[in-house]
Amino acid sequence: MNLLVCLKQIPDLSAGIPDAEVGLRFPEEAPQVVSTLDGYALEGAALLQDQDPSCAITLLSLDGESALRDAFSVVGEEAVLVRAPSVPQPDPVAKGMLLAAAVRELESRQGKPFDLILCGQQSADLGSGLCGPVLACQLGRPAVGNVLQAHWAQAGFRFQCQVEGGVQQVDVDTPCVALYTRSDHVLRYPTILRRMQASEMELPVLDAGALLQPDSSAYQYERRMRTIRVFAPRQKADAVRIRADIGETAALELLSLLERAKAL
Amino acid sequence: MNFELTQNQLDAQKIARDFAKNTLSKDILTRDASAEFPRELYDEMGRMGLIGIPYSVEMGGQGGDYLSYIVSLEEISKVDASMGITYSVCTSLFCGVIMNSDLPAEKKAEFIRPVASGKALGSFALTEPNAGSDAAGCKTIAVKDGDEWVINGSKCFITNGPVSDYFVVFTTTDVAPGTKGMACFMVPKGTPGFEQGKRHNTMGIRSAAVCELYFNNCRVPEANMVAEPGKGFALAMKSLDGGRIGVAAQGLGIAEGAFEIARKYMVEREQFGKPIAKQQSLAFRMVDMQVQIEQAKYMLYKAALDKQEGRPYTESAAKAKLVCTDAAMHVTTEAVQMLGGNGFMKEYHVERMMRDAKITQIYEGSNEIQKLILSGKLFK
Amino acid sequence: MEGKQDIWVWIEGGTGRHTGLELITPGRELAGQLKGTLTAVVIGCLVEEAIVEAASCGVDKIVAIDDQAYTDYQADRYTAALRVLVERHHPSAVLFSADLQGRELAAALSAQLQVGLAQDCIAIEASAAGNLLFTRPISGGKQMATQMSVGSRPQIGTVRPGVYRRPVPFFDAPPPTVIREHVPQFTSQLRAGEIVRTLEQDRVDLEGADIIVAGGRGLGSAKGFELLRAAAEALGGQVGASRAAVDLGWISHAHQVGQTGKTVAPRLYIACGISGAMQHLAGMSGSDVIVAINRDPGAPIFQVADYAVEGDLYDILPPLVEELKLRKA
Repeated sequence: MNLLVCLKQIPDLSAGIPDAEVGLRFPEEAPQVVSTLDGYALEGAALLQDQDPSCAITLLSLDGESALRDAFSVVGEEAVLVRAPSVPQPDPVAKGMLLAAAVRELESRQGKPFDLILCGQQSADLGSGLCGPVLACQLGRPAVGNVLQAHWAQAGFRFQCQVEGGVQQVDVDTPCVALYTRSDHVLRYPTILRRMQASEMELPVLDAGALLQPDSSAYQYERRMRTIRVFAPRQKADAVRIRADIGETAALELLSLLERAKAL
Repeated sequence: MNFELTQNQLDAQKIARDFAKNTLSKDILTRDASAEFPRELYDEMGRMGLIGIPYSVEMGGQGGDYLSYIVSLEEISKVDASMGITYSVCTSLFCGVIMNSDLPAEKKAEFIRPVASGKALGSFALTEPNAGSDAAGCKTIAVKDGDEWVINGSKCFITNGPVSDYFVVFTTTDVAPGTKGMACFMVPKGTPGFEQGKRHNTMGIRSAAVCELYFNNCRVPEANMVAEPGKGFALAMKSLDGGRIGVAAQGLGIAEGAFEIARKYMVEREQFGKPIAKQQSLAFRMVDMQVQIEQAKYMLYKAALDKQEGRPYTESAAKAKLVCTDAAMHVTTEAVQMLGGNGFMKEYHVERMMRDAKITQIYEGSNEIQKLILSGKLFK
Repeated sequence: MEGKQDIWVWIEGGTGRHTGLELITPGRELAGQLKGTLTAVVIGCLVEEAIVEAASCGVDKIVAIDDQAYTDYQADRYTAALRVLVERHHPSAVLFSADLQGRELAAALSAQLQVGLAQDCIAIEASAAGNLLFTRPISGGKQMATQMSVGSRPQIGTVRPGVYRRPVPFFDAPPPTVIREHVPQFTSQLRAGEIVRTLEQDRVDLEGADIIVAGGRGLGSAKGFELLRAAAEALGGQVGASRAAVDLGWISHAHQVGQTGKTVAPRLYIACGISGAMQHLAGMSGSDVIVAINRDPGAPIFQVADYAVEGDLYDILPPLVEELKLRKA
C-alpha cells in the first residue's frame, strides 16, 4: 500500500494578534503549523501504516517547507516540497492543479499510482474546501468527503464518514482521494529521532508550474473567486444589563425584552 | 560562551512541552488522589523516544544529546513530577548504571535496549532500611555458587519497583566487607526468589510507583553481573552523579511549573481593587523566585553540559541538585501562599507540587549529602 | 453579462429538514436586485414534497431530477447530474446551504467546473456591476473576507445554516415553471453502506435548534440540568453544555457546544452559569441573540451577550419557566 498525504502550511492562528481593522495580524516570524484537518489526514495515514507496516507514506506540500518537516517528524518515508514560481498567487483551483501535476510526476517516477491520497477537507485559515476536490477531479479519482477513519481492504478502502446524524461506511476501490474531517483520532506526537532527521534532511523540490500546460486554466486565477477585502468581525454593541435583585423580577424583565426582540 | 539551546534541544523541549501540556496534564488530579501509575502515558513517552534520548540508536535510543534529555525531563516535571522521577530513574539511573559499567558493548546494549527503547521500565536498587545516606550499611548480600550468585536481603523506596521489568541491584558480597566488596547485578522481574513488595503510600509524587524489594535465595547468572565485587560502590556513586542531574531537572521543573501558576493567578486575582500582582511585597517575592529559578536553571544546564562534553561533573551535579531542589521546595511553598486559600485547594495544583517537591531534597543523595560531597572537595 | 441572471438554490430532495429553503430569502432579494430569476434545483427520488415547499416559498422556476437512481445521496453521482444541469441552463450563481452535504456538493461541483467557491457565507450581496459579493468568516472566525468572482461563472457559494430564515410560505405565490430533467446515467464509484446513527445524536440536534439553553460549571451539580431541561422544554428548545459541565460528568458530550463540541447558530442562546471561555464562544458566538445568566459580573460571556443578567440562575430560571408555562396555558 502506498499513500500520499497533502499538507498545507498556515500561520499558527493562536499566535495572531487581534487587530481592529483586519481582525487578526501576524508578526513577521509568526510560528507556522500544519493546517488542522491535514493533521487528521496525517494521523489517518499513520493509522493505516499501523494496520500494515509495509505501507509507505509520502508527504507533499505546496510551499510548506516547515509543515513538511513537522509532518515528517511524526510519520512518513518521503517528503517532497512542491514549488510553482510561475503561478505566484494560486487560488484553490490552481493549487489543486499544481498538486495534481506534482502527483502525476511522482507516480510516473515510481511507476504506479498512490493507492490513496489523504488531505484535510478544508484548511483552517481560508477553508474553501476546494483544493482536495480539484486534485481528485484532475486525477480522475473519486473523492470521499468527511472521512473519520479508513481501513485497507486489499482492492480498495473502507471509509467511515461523518454524515448528518451519524456515521456512514463508504467503500471505494483504489486509487482514490480521502478528505478528512475532525474525529477522535488526533495527530500523534512526533518522535525525537524523527524530529532530528526532519530538521536535517534534504527536501527534494518539484517545480509543478513547469509541469503545467502553457494554456492551463491554473493561470487564470484572476477570473475566479478572489478575496477583495479582509476586515474584522463586527463588534457587538454592549449588552443590555438586567440587574434586578429579585429573581422573579429579573425573569419577567428578560422575557419582555426577548419578546420585543422577537427572539422567542 | 553560548547560553542558547541548539535547534535539536529546542525541538526536543517543544515535543516534551506539548506532550506535558496537552496529554500529561489530563487527569493529573485523579492520578494524585488514586496514586495510579499511568502506564499508557509512559508508553507514549517511550514511543516518542523521550526515554532513550541520550542513548545511541544501536542501544535502542534516539541518538540525541544529554541536554536535550534534561530539558525534556524539565518540561515533563513542570506538569507531572511523578512522571518526571519515573522518567529520570529509567534514563539516568537504570540505563546510567549499565552504561557506566565495565560490561562489553554488546552486553550493555542487551541490558539497556528494552528500557532505552521505551518498551520497559527500569529501577535502581541501592537503598535499604538501614542503608540510606550511609550506603555502607547495605546488608543485601550475594554469594557465589557455581556460575550463579545467590542474593538475600531487601531494598526499600525503590522508584518504579512495582512496574519495572529490569532492576540493577547493589549488594555486598562475601569477597570483602562493606563497600569494598560491593557488586551490582541486573535482575529481571520474575526471577525466582525475587519479589516486589507492596507500594509505599507517600506524601508526594504519588503516581510514581515506589515499593520494597525482597530477595530470598534469588539466583542470578554470572552473565548478569554488572559490577564485580569491589567495583559496585564506585559504579553506584558515579551513576548517582548522573541521576542527581535528573533530579535537579525534576526539581527545576516543579519550581517553574508552580511559579507560572502563581504568576498567572496573581494577574487575575483582584483584592483591594487591583490584581495582587500590584502588591509590591508580593511582586518582589516573585522576582526573588524568578531569579532563584534562573540561577538554578543555569547551574543545571552547566552540570548537564559538563557530563555531555566529557568533563568531570560530580561537583557541578551536586551543586545543581542542591540548588534546584531547594528552589522547588521554596517556590512551591511560596506559590501556595501566593494563591492564598485557593492554594490550599487541590484543583489549583500548587499544593500537590509542594508535596512533590519535598522528596527532591531527600532522595538521590539528600541535600545534606550533597553538602558533604562539596565540602569534602572544598577543603581537600 | 448577457441575458438575464438566473440564481439557483440547491434544495435537498427527500424528506427531512430542507435547509436549502432558507436560501430562497436571499435568493429572492438578489434576483430582484439583479433583475434576474430565482430557480430552485432539486435532485432525488420522490421530490414532490421539496418542489411543493420551494414553490410555496416563491421561486420563478424549479429544475428537478426525479429518478430512483438518486434515492440516496451519493456525492459523485449528484455532482455529475448537477454539472449536466448547470451546463445546460447556465445559471449565474448556485447557492447551497453549508451543511455537510451542501459543502461537499458545492466543492465537488466547483472542482468539476473549475470555478471558485465561497464557503460558509454569512451574507451575500449584489455589486453594482452585477457580481455577487460573498462575505464569510476565515481564520477560525477571527477575520471576515469578502469574495467575488469577476469572470468565471457560475458563482458558487455555501451559506451558513440559520443565517437566513426560510420565507413564510405564501399561498397565493404565482406557480413556478417546473422543468423535469433527465441526465445520462452515471455509475457511482462510492459504495455507501448503512448509516449508523449515534443514539445520542438522534435525540440531540443542537445544530438545528432555534433555541438553546446551555449550562456550565456555575450550575454547581448535575441536578442543574434538570432545571435547564424544564426551561428548554418551556421554550421549545434544546439543552446545551459547556465543556466544563461535560468534563464534570453532568451531561453527555452530545450536548457540548464549543470548539471540541458543536458549533451552533440558534436564534436564541441562553448561557447559564457559563463563564465564556474562548473555546465555548467559538461554538456559539454566531447565535442571533445571546442571553447570559451569571453571578460573576466579570464573566467573559458578558462581552458577547446581548442581554446580561447578573444573578443566580437558580433564582431567575424557575420564575422564567413558570411564566412561560402560564403563557402557554
